[in-house]
Amino acid sequence: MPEIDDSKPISAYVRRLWRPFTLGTVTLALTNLFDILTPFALMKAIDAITASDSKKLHEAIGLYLLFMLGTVAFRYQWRLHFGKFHHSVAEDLRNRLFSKYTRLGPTFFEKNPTGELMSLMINDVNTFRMAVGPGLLILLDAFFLIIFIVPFMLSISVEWTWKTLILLPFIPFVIRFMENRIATASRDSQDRLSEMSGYTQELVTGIRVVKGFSQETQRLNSFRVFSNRFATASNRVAKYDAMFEPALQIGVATGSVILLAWGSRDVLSGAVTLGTFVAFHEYIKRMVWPMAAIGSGLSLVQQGRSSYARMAEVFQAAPDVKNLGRTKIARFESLRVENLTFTYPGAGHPALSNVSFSLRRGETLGIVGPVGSGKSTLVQILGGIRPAPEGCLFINGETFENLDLESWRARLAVAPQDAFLFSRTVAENILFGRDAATKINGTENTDKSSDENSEPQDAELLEAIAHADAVALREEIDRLPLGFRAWLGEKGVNLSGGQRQRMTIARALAHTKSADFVILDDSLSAVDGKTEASVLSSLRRKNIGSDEKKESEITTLIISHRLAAVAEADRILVLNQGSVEAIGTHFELLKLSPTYRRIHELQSETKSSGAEPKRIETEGTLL
Amino acid sequence: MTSNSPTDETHDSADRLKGGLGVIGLLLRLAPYFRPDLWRCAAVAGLVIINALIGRGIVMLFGLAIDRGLIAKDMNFLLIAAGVYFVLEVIMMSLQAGIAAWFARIGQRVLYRLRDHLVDHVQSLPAAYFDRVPSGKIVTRLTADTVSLTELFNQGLLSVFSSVISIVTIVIAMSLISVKMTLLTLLVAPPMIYLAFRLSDRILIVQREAKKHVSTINAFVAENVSGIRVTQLFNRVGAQNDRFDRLSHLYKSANLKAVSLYALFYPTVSIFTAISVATALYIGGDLTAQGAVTTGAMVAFIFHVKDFGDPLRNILERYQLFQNSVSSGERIFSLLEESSETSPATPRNLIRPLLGQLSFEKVSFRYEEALPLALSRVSFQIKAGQTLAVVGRTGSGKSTLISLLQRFRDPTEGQIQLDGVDLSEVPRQEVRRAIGVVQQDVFLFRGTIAENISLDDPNISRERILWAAGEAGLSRLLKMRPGGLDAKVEERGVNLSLGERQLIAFARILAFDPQILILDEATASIDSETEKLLQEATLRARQNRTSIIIAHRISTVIDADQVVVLKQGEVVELGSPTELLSRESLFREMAQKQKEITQPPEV
Repeated sequence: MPEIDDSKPISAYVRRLWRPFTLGTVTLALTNLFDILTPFALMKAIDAITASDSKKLHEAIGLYLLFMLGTVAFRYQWRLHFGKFHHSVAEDLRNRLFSKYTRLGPTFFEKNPTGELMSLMINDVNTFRMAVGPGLLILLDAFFLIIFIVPFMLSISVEWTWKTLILLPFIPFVIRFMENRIATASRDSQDRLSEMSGYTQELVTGIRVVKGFSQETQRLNSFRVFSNRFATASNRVAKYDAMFEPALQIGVATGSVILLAWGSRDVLSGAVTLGTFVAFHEYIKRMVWPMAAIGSGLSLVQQGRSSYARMAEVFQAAPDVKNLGRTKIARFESLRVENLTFTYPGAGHPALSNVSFSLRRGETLGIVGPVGSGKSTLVQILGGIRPAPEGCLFINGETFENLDLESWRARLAVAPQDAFLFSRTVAENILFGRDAATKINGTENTDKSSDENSEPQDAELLEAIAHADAVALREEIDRLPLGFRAWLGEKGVNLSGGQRQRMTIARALAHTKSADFVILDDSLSAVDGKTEASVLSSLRRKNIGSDEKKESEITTLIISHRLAAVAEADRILVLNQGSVEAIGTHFELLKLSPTYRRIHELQSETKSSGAEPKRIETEGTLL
Repeated sequence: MTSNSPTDETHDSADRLKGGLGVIGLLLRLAPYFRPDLWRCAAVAGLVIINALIGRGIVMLFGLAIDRGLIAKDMNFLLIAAGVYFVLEVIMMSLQAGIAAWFARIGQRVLYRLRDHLVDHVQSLPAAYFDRVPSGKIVTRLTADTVSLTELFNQGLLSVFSSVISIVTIVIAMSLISVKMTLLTLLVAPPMIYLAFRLSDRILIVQREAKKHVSTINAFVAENVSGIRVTQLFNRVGAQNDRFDRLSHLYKSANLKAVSLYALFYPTVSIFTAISVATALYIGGDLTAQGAVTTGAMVAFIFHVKDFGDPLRNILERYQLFQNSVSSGERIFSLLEESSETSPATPRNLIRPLLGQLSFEKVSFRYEEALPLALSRVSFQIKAGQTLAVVGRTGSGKSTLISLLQRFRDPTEGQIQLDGVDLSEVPRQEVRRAIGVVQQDVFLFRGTIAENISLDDPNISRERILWAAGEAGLSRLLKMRPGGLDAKVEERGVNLSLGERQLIAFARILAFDPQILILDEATASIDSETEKLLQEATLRARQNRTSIIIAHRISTVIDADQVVVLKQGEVVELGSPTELLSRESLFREMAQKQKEITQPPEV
């Protein structure tokens, strides 16, 4: 399929989906042809009635029915073809947008709030669909009607035609004027509506304050102001809306009046039959719609263009990390970071400066440091979420830019700091990294049941349970109504923050079936010491599932506040304000790093707390 | 979504009225809101009838012009007819515009009244309702659902009424020409209308299905945007795209189904027109030949028949709109059926001036029948002007205590007395004016800081706001903020620090000056400068007030006259802080443990 040229999206889509578009256009033309033939049949019928010729009358009726049938049959056809055309355009746009969303980085999402991205997906896609569907359609409709009707009218009488149609060319301008007025008024009323919604939102969420201070009457009075403003704005829309049709009708009426006053002379003189007169009147009626259609069609296309421009911005947005490299990483051997400096776009000072360290297969590296020291930034860079400056990062000795990003990410099993889970079953969430996609791709059916292909099978379910066990989550999950098949999220069960965090660890553990580089980004903070030990030992032993990797197969990077979690690491890196303060083993750091020492002192003090009642005077918190 | 995701229906069933409503039911429920505009509605109805009559008059005039003008070859008549025709058209168009605009105004007034009633009602609902129903849903009832009714008024009711009147006048006008021809022509109407209604029902179902797909897509996009990193890190971009493509395709299929049903819908009306016009021509030919009907009347008859199709299609289309409004209406009226907070049968007033002696007498409370007691036989007294500190773990019943004092909930058993008056006999608003609460999670409204202190209450003057801000120590903090007291507060106060929000809540309390103060101390850590301000504010707010403090800070507890330790809804310890610390007590144990948490999570 040809790529869509973002500067000419409408013609590009017409070219890509030429089949339904052409079929739609042809059937539309045929519909119009039959439609404007019906007054002709009517004319014959009236003339036959005037002449009391029943044979001709029956012929005319037959003709009329035939033309009506043709209109109906082809109208049905073009509706189907055009429907297919513009709904396919919408589908393609939605898929393109989503595909782009999933490939963009944090810079994009920081600039574009979720609400806007959703509105783009639903509203702007729909506006563009309206442009290529109904918009193009009514323009074509108008075009066909004009080129079919005008010759008919001219064939009856050139003089009648120009005299009765003289006002019509103004209609498109009137329509556009009215539509602009309506659009402005609607926007205003939408704004008033969101103001009112905003006020109501606060009223409901802050109801305890309102009631607590007995402010009900006061709030109702304020609400009235918003409610009234919205009503006034809506009335304005209704006013313009109400004028719309009558303005159009006046066009027809004027034509009819002119016809009655001037055209009837020709009927009187016998130059034109009564049937022709009535038919001509019908054609005048039919000319109004094309005029209105030009006005509305152009508005729709214009709106569609600006919606597409908004979407094009997304299509052209660049990801933070470009995936250009070809070198595939099949097995992690070593990581080397050299003088890594990273500054967030627009930030005054770097989040990481001159960070260097290295890590070999099977080793464990701990990272500690206060909030804002750059730990999470480092994880994001390693995961290819944020871009590393060129030549700072080497995997297996290969510079990061040359890597095939997907193959590198396949090595990683990350338990991120924010415990994000998907609205799926518990088991599906734990096995999220699993390649169920192969199964899905294997079946081409698109019916509703196909989604269930990603549901874990029995063997996999057991695996999910084993991983949940490792993070002491199994019993809690078993207590849920559907256990491991319980649905998470808004429409299902809500797990507590700690449970969610442990889910993400289980998810990372499950992922080590294929991945060999584990990153725990502060996720151990939510678990107790026993579970922490269980997680760490399961990483060391790797005895989960059908895995036969040896102890040294897994490389681990642990970010933690609690020194206990990193104390046994091969090396610990202390980050402070983006710089490496020290690197070494636990005992080395106790000598080398003041930050490390301070954390150690504070945490061991907590452990040996023999707080006397006297100490109560210090600032503290009671549970 | 897979089979085990709960469906929308189960979610929505809660806000459906029992037995449903139906269009007539909805209109009956709306009738009271129409009452003040009844004469206007009658006037609009009158104008609609006049309008329809003019419409028929124009067609008849056209027939007359053919007979008396064209066939009788009377040019004068034709010119007069053209003039009358033009005047009638102009009148009809102006009437049409006027009617639509006027009725829309009436509709807005009705909805204004409805919204008013809704907000008034929502504010009277008990706290339990707000705990049960998510705020987003309530807001939707008040806004989106009432807007859906706007469509019912503007495009629905009027349009259907005018269409029905049109059809009636058309049938009358046709019968005036020939009853026999009318009957035979309209013979096909009933089956066609039946067919079209059936189609409308189908379209409605498909449209609802398509709407469901929209919300699925919305939810999927929202979730994937927030979870984008997980998807990328786990190499699931392709898989998620496949999932999305399937959702997107399902949505398209639903849309196409709607398209094909619509494609059938219009032909139904066209075929009706075709058959009836053909019948009219067939019979009309004979009738004109016999001289029973004039040619002009025959042409007029055909125009009448052709005019029949439009209002018919209108009614059928609006029928779908009506169904959607009915579901909105059901949700609105089910909200209005929720019962308000109870008020005492024989209300008593609090003693004035209040002394502030507060006592709990064997107060028990449970949230729901099936749940255990949240508070169990809690008893204590606080002398006027004294401070009681409440201590306990999460879930020990501290927040329930506040709810009971503010009368958001009422005790299942026992009494709370203020100066010897049982609170449950006092109107809720009076209780809430006497008892002020500073919540841990301070709620701020959009507006200015000053507006948040006074809550826009006209009884609170600017001077009082200034004084309260000064007393709360807020003024010192505001000096650094451009705009000072008039600095903007964004939604939920996100642009203010936790400390600032707390201080605003203190200023609010001081401005409203309740005799009893309840303070839920913030647990989150606040910078030491603000912390100091807060402590001073607490001390000042406590002066001359009976206070209950849900305490998290040792200093506050030590300052209190009494300490109550709650555990699983029961009072386990009660006494002065020094007394409790001097013996083996849960309070002492907790006080010792605090050291472990003193350690902030990050260094």
